[in-house]
Amino acid sequence: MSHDNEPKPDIPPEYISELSIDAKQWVILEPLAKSASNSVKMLDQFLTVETESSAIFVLGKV
Amino acid sequence: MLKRKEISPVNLVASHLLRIQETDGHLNSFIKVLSDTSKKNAAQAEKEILAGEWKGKLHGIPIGLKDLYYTKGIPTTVGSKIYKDFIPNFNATVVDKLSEAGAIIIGKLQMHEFALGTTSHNPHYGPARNPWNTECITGGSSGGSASSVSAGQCMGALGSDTGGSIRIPSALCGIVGMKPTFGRVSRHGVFPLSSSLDTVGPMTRTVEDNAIILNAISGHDINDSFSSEHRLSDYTSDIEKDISGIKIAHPQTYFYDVIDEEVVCLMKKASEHFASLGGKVEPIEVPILEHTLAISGTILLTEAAEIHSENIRTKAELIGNDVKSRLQQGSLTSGVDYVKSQRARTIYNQKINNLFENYDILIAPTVATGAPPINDTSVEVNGVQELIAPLMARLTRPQNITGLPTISLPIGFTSKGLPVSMQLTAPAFQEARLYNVANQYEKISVFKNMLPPI
Repeated sequence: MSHDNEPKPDIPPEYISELSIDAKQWVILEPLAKSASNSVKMLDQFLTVETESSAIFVLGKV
Repeated sequence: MLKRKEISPVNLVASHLLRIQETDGHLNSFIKVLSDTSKKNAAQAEKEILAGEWKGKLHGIPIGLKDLYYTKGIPTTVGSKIYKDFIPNFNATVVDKLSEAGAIIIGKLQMHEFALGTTSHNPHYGPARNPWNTECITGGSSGGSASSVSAGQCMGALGSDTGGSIRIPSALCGIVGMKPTFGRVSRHGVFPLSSSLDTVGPMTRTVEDNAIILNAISGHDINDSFSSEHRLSDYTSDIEKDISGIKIAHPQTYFYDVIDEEVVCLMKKASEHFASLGGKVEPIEVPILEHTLAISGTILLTEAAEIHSENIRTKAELIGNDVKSRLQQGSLTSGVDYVKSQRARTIYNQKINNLFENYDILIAPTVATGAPPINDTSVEVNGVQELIAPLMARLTRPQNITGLPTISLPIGFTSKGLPVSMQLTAPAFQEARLYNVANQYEKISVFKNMLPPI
């Protein structure tokens, strides 16, 4: 018996349906979400382990 | 003139109400006009001024509010169907500050639903229309604020800016818009969109008017946890200072990747104007700007999805398609990607802040084109079709990431007669420097005293 764990492009996974996403919207949203995540991966090129996410805490205290 | 009793606040407010009556059928700037309360408050202001109790430059001045500012007892829709009957039981801090300064709130203004969009094409209240061409968008999300100020329906307005929502409509409608430093102006009682990016600020026809309103609304507020205790400045005191010798950086990276040639030409002329004022403009490259969209997009949509998590789960059918789709996309962001974007933001901000070791201000175009037609979804830029919604905010996002103060002001017109603007950015809490430079530029600008045809 074969196992297919890949999400079907025209059927949103059940947990995503809670976000009121239907199959038609999923076809549009899935590539958008993937593309956004891929552009975030590009940030690795200048991040180091020492970089803290301090921006939001520092700004208001200047 | 109000102080000298040459103009009465009652007549001033009445003339603006008449202007709204004459033009709002074409512009759709207002969600709610506060005729009765503004007349009543104008009568009170008149009484005070006649009794010698002048409160300052905003006393008796009609001001509009984007419809996400809480107004006690008055509906605050946030441009949505979900909140159409929401009536706050307190005023936003800045609304109280405006009232204390004697300003008259004349109405609640159109906006993109939840402030999550760049066109102000609102499915529930209709599109806000641009006074320079009513078939074109105002830009967003503070579209009603920009169109009402531009068309003379009020003398100033408040907007909010998370990815450019003050500067984009200011640019497309040919007015002055200030996004102050993050933390400079209280957000208490302003319906949130993105807690680490939201800022609120004034939109006006002139630089000086803008500085006067920022003077009234700035300051620390214990009710806003991100509010700063940094000392306050008088933003009007330095606006006449000579700016010769000022060092201006003109970043080329990112800002000129996708942009209409007409805007490029007008930016060149703006640089020449600065040179004629004694400024030294230097083109520079800033490679980190290439990551703007990844950082800004991830943080903004994820934080917006958190704010509206209940709405997207239980009332999605009441939300317009474009906004719903953005909220759903934000809901799909992984925690890993959100944190990575915030970490990257730290480096991004360091690199931008370092530029001010060598320069006094940065300049850039505000929007890559003039205002596109309301019913279009894409626009041609140098032979390539670009989606309007992301294009409008492309050049304004960097300053929300950094939180730095940025003012947008008009620099000319496209061949279709639509306004084009530039934005000036200064180090944190240096709004006074921006008003000084913008005011000196405004004096020699072709745009000064030009009014839209409506």
